[in-house]
Amino acid sequence: MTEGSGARILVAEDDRGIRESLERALRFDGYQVTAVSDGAQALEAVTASEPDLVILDVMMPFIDGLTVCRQLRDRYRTMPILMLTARHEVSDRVAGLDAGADDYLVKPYAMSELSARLRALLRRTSVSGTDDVLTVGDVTLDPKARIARRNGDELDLTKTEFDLLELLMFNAGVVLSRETIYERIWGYDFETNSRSLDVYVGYLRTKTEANGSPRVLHTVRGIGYVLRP
Amino acid sequence: MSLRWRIAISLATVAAVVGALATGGAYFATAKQIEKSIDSSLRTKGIELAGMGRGGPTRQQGGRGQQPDDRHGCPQPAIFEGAVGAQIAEIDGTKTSCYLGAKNDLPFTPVDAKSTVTSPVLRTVRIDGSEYRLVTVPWHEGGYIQMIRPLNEGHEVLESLIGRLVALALSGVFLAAVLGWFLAKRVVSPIIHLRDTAETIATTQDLATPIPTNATGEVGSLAQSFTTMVSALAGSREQQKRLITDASHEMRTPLTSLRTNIELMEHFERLGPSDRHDVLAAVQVDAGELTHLLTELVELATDQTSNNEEPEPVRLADLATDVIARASRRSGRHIALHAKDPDMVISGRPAMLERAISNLVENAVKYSPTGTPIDVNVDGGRLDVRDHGPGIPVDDQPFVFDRFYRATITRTEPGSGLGLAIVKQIVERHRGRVWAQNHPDGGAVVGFAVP
Repeated sequence: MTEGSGARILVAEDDRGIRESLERALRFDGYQVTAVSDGAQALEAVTASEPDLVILDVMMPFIDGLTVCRQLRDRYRTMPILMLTARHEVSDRVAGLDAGADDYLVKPYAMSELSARLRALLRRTSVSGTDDVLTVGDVTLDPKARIARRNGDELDLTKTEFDLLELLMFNAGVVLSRETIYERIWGYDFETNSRSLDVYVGYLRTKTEANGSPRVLHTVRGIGYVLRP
Repeated sequence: MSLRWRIAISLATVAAVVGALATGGAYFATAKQIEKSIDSSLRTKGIELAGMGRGGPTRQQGGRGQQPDDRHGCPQPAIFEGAVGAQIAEIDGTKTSCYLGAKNDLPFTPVDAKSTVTSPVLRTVRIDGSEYRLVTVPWHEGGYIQMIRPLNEGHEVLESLIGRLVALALSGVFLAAVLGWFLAKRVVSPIIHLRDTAETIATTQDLATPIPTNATGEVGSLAQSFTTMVSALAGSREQQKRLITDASHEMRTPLTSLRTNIELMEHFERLGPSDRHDVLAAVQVDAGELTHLLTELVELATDQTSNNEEPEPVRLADLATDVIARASRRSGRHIALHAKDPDMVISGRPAMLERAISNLVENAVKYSPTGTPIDVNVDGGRLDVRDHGPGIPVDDQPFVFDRFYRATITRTEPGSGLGLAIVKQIVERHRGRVWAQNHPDGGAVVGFAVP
């Protein structure tokens, strides 16, 4: 009951039934919930109260969830954002991740799954469990300060990207399976054949390979990923 | 039998008929010609003989090789060359054969006795089962010379002729058949192509398969009709697909809150009294919404209301009265009927029209604030429902009758998004039209008119 530990969550969902049930269930889990019914209100509420996590429905009147997500991401780089979508096509999911969401869920979802993802997104502790600064080649990562650098330049990473990089750096040279990565980053292993991991790896590569730096994050076909200097 | 075979066989048959006619014609013409030439040679010889018999120049000539005065004897047999029999026949019946080793006892009748020097009598006679041409010419007083040539003389020629003609006709038939086969291929190949395409579409179910349209004439227009049919099918399939996609999309919403609420009910004993009440109420609403959605979806998809209902004389005002009574009882709203001509009768399907009116009224109840009145106006086949709510945004007005379309502002309200689509479907079945607009004094006006 107290697993939410009082974290403040903003729910933006236009359907009253879903909004109210979600609000009730999250409150029951021990979160402090603010619920709004459209994108404009969501932006207002985030600005006013800076919640610990935002749950956004994709289809909302006035300002849709993707636009809200993009605007929030511009302003709050590390604020965890979870998207809810009624669509199931891969392109829609990628669009959600592209807009900067840390995770997404397809309706109708199980509340237990949503809770698991919220816990993972709200976890403040380091994903690797160490406080020491990690160094692999010219990449350094400080789990406590949550700062990652390559060649001394700070990398602008979202929470999920940071966690992914930290996990791979802690296990540098070790091939991590997709299942392991899902389990450790998102806290669940519901759909390991989804493409969201690939999408995050893509973002992480773009950011770590800026200015023509060589690739450190390698794909091991059929197994998973490995970070090597 | 395939069309190709039929065309080839037809052509061959025509060739066979033409060949038979030509062969027959040529045969008879040739046979006639041969008979004519036999006659003419017999006549010439007869006249020559007659001249010999009567003296004159022929007598001198005859004097060289024959006894000119022997008017009763036969001439030299050489003169009968080509004939197969010759005799001298006397009026008294005596016959003297002039041509040994040949046919004897040629018939002599009074007809033959009419023969003169310049016009010998020629006729066909039958001796021992064979036909001959017989010529008779006067020879001496009371005596005639007769000679015959077989009619079947030309048969050999004819036989070889007919052999060649038949061979020619047969090769003509064969040529026509081959030609027909290739011609038929040209005619039939676009049809075969079309058939193969149809079979491909049937097996692959791929309605995007290109249909050959390069053929001209009837086959071309057949291909065109084919294309039209397939694209109509594709359109209908696309609509079905959209209906399913839309429907599943709409079902996710109530399902989502239903799942959330049910999962929360696992901890029912730890919920406060008001939460317990809310969760149960929400589950009821979700289940109701799903049921409603399902019912309307089935209705929309199967068109079931229309299947067994025949048009009959109905009064829209009467139908509206029933609907209003039910709706005001259930919602507690004040709903007024304004009928211009309440006894006006139109032709329609009462259950369907009642459903349409009911959907319009329910829509008005849902989208206008509690306590505001609702007006139903009837004028003959025209009916509209006006509420005193926020009205319909102008941008949404063209789309409110689309399936699952819910105006931006109404998206937060429960509803299937199918109610007005059903109204539209019913009204279109009555060849009527629907509209949605805002009243100048506020509120939405949604209605229909049927002829």
